[in-house]
Amino acid sequence: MKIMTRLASYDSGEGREEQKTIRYNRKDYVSFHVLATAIWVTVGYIAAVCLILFLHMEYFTSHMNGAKLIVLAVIVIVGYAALLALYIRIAGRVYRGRYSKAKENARLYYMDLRRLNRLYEKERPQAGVSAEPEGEQ
Amino acid sequence: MDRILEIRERIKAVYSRYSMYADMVLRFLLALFTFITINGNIGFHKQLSSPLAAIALSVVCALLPMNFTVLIAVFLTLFQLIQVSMEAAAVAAVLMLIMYIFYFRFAPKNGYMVLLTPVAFTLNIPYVIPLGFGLSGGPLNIVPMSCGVVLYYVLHYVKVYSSTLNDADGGFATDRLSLLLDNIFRNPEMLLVLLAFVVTLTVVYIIRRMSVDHAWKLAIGCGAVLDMAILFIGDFALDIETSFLGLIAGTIISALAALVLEFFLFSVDYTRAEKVQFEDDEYYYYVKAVPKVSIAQPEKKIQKINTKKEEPKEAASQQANVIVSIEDALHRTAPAEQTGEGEAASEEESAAGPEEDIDGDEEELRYLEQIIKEKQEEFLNRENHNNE
Repeated sequence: MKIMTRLASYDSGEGREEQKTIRYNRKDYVSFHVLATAIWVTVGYIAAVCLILFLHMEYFTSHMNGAKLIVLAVIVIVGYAALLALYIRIAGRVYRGRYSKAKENARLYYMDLRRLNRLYEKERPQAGVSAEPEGEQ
Repeated sequence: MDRILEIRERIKAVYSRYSMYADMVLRFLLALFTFITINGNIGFHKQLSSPLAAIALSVVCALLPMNFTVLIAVFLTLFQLIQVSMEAAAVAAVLMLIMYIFYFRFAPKNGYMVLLTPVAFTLNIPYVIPLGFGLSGGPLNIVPMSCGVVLYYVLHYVKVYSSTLNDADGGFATDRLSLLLDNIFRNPEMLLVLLAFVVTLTVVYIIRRMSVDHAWKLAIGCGAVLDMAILFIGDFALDIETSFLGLIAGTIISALAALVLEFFLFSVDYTRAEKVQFEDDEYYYYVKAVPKVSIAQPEKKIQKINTKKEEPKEAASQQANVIVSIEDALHRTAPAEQTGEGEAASEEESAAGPEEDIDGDEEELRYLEQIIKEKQEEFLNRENHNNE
């Protein structure tokens, strides 16, 4: 009963997503998500920069000149590179962890399945013996 | 104290038994308070702001996973903001997108934390947030807490300045956007609350991880006092109008709520703490072991009042069992008359001669008598035992 509950819980809960995860090769899975993270971070960074620009709109329109613009551009690019590097590192760690966890959970799931199968096989011959006399009568 | 611990165990037992329904109720309550907070601040759409709509949406959220509540809250907020100002809706959407990209993509299960902060502000106990998040989690909780604080102040700002934001003659959209951002992000009250909450959460986390006795209580006390002190001094320094009575009352209630949280999450008996020291080839270990406080659930005693009435039934059933078993024995010892194999065996026996047949019958009869005697003795023994 415990095994069946555990299996059902896995099937209806995290198991669905984790089964999709382990279909991929580990390297492919991590690379895909790191790439997706890089794209998302780029979008987020552009949004954040736009917000800051709007926030300091008055200052930029009145005090900006060519040299300051170059400095600002360098700061924005360096900031982007640093943030991207940080998030790629974080994403690599997070998705490697998720993949390992999914693999481990799937291993436990298949172990439980095998255990359940063995229990069924044990019960089957007994059920057959008890059913025979009834059939003859 | 034992009585309180017993109640705690009962609450835990009831929760674990009905966890599915309890979770649904909790999701419903969180969703309801969230929608009330949103509608209370920016309820510009009449139909969507009605309590009936909030209850209906909360019922839907109760049946769905927690992240759907977050998603519905986001869409409701944006829809309400569009009613008053497209710029405000755009700013809120960009803020939420940034929060999603930089934090909630990696921790989607923490989405509810963003909802809890504005709800706590609405209930006038926002100080419970840094205490609770510091006790139950780590320093990473600073991110969802800060997101919640920013979102609450966005809603609050839109509520206060809705007439200005709604004014079509108030200049260019870019000017209104700049004004909106300026007022949100340069709001000294919001920055002060953010500072106080971040410092409090960090201090609560550090103290509760220390190995001193009553670390959790110490963390709650220090956190509450520190939070109050920062807000108190900050309000004076930045000349922010605030109710100090509300601040003190809110902090006390928040500290009490945090103590309740501690009672459920971390209940240990420091009087039985042990300090042990040991070593292996590479390290010396100084270990402090504090036993958890637990109490066994009282066992239910079931007293049978009508046991005597059942005795005749039991005796009758026992008698019936004996008869059945004797009949079984008879069938087992005389299979030759019933089965095909038996018929073949009886043919062999008849071919062997009449003398051997008589001997076999006598043996069978003796065997049957022995079984009947055994069963009768067993039955009598059982009856004697029952009478005793």
